[in-house]
Amino acid sequence: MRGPETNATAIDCPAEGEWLGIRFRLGTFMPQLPIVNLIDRKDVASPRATGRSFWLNGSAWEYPNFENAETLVARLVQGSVIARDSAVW
Amino acid sequence: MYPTNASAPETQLRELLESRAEVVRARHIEGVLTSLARQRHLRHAASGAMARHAEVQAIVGADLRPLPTRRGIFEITEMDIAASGDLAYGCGLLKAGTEVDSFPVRLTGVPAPYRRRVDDRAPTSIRRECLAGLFIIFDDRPSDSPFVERVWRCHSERAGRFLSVASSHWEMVVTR
Repeated sequence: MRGPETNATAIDCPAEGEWLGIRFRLGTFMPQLPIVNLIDRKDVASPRATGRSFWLNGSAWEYPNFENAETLVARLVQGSVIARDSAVW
Repeated sequence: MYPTNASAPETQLRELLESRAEVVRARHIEGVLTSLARQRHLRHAASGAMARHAEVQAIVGADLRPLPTRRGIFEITEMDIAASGDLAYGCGLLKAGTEVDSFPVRLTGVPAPYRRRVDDRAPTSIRRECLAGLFIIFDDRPSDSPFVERVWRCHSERAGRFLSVASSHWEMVVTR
């Protein structure tokens, strides 16, 4: 989990790396993980459960890919891992 | 048509093109195929600066005009900007007259005015460092989910340093 960043930062990048990111809308949050704790690269890593899943909030979730990222988000919402403050839009 | 290397048959070239097709968003498949053929040829036949130039052309899908010095510094023209869409070079911005010495990097998903403001504030030393030898291919898409702003993916072809812009959003990032 990567939080908001208040400054531009120079980052070292390894060779042959691959990344997939889901950028959440403003107002989206994790009730169990205050986003304020993640600000400015205080990332929180989720341990791997199996080769295809990771642990988050005591449950194993399948890694998303570029095409099905919304499926994971929908499951996280259904499991109350992610919520949204409708007052923020 | 530029000659291809004898060890690079047409099928391999097409596979290479297809693997990059989504990234380059090729409008003219034969044009990109030609560029890739030229790129492969130059990788074997030319020194680094010429090969880099050919690779940039292959990815951008447009002809870049080399500067007279031929030291791997290339000038971006208005035509290149129009052809390359949202491609940006290193951590710099696409501007007519800009000189770049690195490979292109996609920096989509960040509003252009904000990106410009951040880049303009970055120290010159960081900007120059970011332009040195890093190659990241970036792709992203919008989402119809009320929870998701964008979904992005990227991969690096070599190690280096890049400038991570400030952001008001939080993200879930998977890496391998």
